[in-house]
Amino acid sequence: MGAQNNPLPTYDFVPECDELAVRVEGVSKSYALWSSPLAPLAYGVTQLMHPLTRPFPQIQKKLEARTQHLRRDFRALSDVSFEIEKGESWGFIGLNGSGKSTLLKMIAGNLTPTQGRIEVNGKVAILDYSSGLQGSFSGRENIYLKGIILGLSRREIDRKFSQIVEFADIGYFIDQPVRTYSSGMTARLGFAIIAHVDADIMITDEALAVGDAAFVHKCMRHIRKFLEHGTFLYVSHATNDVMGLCDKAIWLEHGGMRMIGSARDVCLAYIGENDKTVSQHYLATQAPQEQHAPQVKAGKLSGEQLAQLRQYVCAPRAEARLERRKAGYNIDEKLLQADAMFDTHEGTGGGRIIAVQLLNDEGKALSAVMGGEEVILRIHVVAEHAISFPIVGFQMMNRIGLVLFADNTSDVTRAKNIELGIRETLEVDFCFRLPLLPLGDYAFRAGFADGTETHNAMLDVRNEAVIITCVTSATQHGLVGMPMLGISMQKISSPPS
Amino acid sequence: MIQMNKVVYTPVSQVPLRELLSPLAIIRALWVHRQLVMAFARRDFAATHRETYLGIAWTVLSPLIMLALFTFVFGGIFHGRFNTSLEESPLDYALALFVGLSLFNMVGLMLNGAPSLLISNSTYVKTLKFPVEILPVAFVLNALFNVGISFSLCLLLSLYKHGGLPLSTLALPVLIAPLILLCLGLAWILSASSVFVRDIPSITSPLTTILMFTSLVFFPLSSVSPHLAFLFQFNPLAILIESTRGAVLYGVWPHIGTLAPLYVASLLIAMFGYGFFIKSKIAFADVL
Repeated sequence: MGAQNNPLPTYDFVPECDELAVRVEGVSKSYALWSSPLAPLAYGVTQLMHPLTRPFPQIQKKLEARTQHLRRDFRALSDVSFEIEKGESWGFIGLNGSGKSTLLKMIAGNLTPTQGRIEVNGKVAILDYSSGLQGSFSGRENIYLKGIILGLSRREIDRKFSQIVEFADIGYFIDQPVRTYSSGMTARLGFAIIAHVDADIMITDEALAVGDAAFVHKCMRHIRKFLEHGTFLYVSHATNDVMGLCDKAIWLEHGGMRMIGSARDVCLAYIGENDKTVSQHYLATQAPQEQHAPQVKAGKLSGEQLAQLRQYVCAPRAEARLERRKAGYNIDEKLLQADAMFDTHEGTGGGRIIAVQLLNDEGKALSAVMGGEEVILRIHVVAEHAISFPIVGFQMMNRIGLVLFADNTSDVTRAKNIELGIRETLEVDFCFRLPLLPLGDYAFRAGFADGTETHNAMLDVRNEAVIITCVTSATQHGLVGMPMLGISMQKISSPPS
Repeated sequence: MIQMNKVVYTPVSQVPLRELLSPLAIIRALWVHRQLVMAFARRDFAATHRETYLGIAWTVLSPLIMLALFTFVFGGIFHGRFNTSLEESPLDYALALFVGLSLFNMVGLMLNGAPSLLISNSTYVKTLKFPVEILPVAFVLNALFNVGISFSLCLLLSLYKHGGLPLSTLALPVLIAPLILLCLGLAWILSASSVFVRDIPSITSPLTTILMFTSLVFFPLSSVSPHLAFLFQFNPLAILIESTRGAVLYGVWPHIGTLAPLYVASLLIAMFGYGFFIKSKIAFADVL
């Protein structure tokens, strides 16, 4: 996770110029904020007087001091640079007001950069459903109007008209004024039109798919088809969608680039940061209990202590250890590899995850799985200060970071009333049957928190605490497979006519 | 099909100055969007009459109502005359007034409609990639169509009354051309500047009334005392209305000496308007 400290994009290769869809070079955008409605006028007048007052530096200085408070520049975006190749899909994540929409609006050509340069190669369409639809006109007329606005010729729309109507699927409403449409119908018509403009670059801000479940599927199918050849720019808070749809991602913060890289890395870093914010919020509400500050200091574990603890908890039971020694299996080596990864950690501190192991039903560590077997995910945690509601949880993610499933101990913690004192260690076993998995790598993310499921402080988080590979597979489609109980086929005789 | 390969956005407008200074380049730039212009002119025209019971009839009815009022006040009460050499019937007076009123309405529409043009179409400025400079063009086209209808009605009435139109009516296109240029220039200037200065609609509405009384709509130039008459020479609309009335009703061919400065002025206004619009266009989305 060290990448998030490096805001500069690094490219291993220089792409061919004509392969670029978008090039953004040192782009900034600022807005002038005025102290009152008349301020622009006053400011403009003093700017005009500037050359006149040049011979009198004292007056000039006084004027400047007087007018300084009139104008304040708000930087929505500062010095952003990146390149997007044709056919790539990029996610733009960040908190509200981080400049995502401003950036995409500049790429679309709606806003002009205050500094820098944007080069766009190809036809841009903004997936914006309702804008440009005229309420008093029928759906049919709106298809032509918006089609022409989006750069289609009349003849092209003639050709695509039936496809658009079929896609929107709003029946006889197509000849009714759009004003009479439900919001869902308006969105369907809007999407249907944009879906047929044959854009090279598609920009989506927030809403990706609209309407009822069936139409959402239709939209997503269309977007996935577009992804095969088109360049896709997607603003979202839904990191799962970004990981699922995008190859690369940019994390914007306060108008600057916080991180750029693969969608998975960026999203995971972003989620980690958000967890931290939530934790800080929790800790702030728990401030009165912070009397045990000296205790925290006393309880804090050094890296060495943690490694010792890890060795202790991970060591197989005495007889099993002996058996392994005989087989020449060196458990310490494996642990050393794990240590390197455990060096960096997120979270607020106060509790540490010591070790995360995926074991088979005999207690042996697994690194390769087939899917469908019974496993134990064993997580050891240690408290650095007293923890009243220790929650240990995990998420299993596929290669691109989509969460396949997750669970945590909040119910058990509550039911059994478990508390941790300083330096107390907790062993948590999650026993479950792995789903059938397509071939590939999978990761477990482990978390150790204090609080409730919704309101907590994330004490420690391990991204990719365990990585497993699925080596043989009974399933190829979808995220996970189903243990199929049986498939039967049989012809039935036709009813007597 | 619009070629949209490779667009560059930078802080300054990318349109080179020579393209703003050449009328041909301006026409070419607008011609690319002809379908869009037509679609918007059609939309605006349809939108004003859609869902009304009388529909397109209002285009004729509303100027007729104004005409009745002005004929009653200026012809009936003040005994106004346009042509003192002929015996002028009330219908003749009304027709002469109607010609001037139609042409004035064209400019009046600009003064009252153009300032709110971009503000009411802010969706196109803000959320879509859209050549906004065509909005004023479509607006002028729509106004021209509306005025054209009432003007044709006026010609038909004259034809019915006199059994024919003077040959000099053929000069009409030559007289309408500078009016269109003037309106285009006004529409571009007013729509762009009102984005930044929201006071403009409040300025243009009294200006419309002032212009109505100073554009020789209600009386001919010959009725103005000689030491005031020269003032009307500076109002291009007054010259236009006087020339058009002469050509359409009294068989007086327009004089090239009066038309030449009119053409120069209206072309300059149109070109300045376009240039001003294009140069300030990049800031629209920031302000709207």
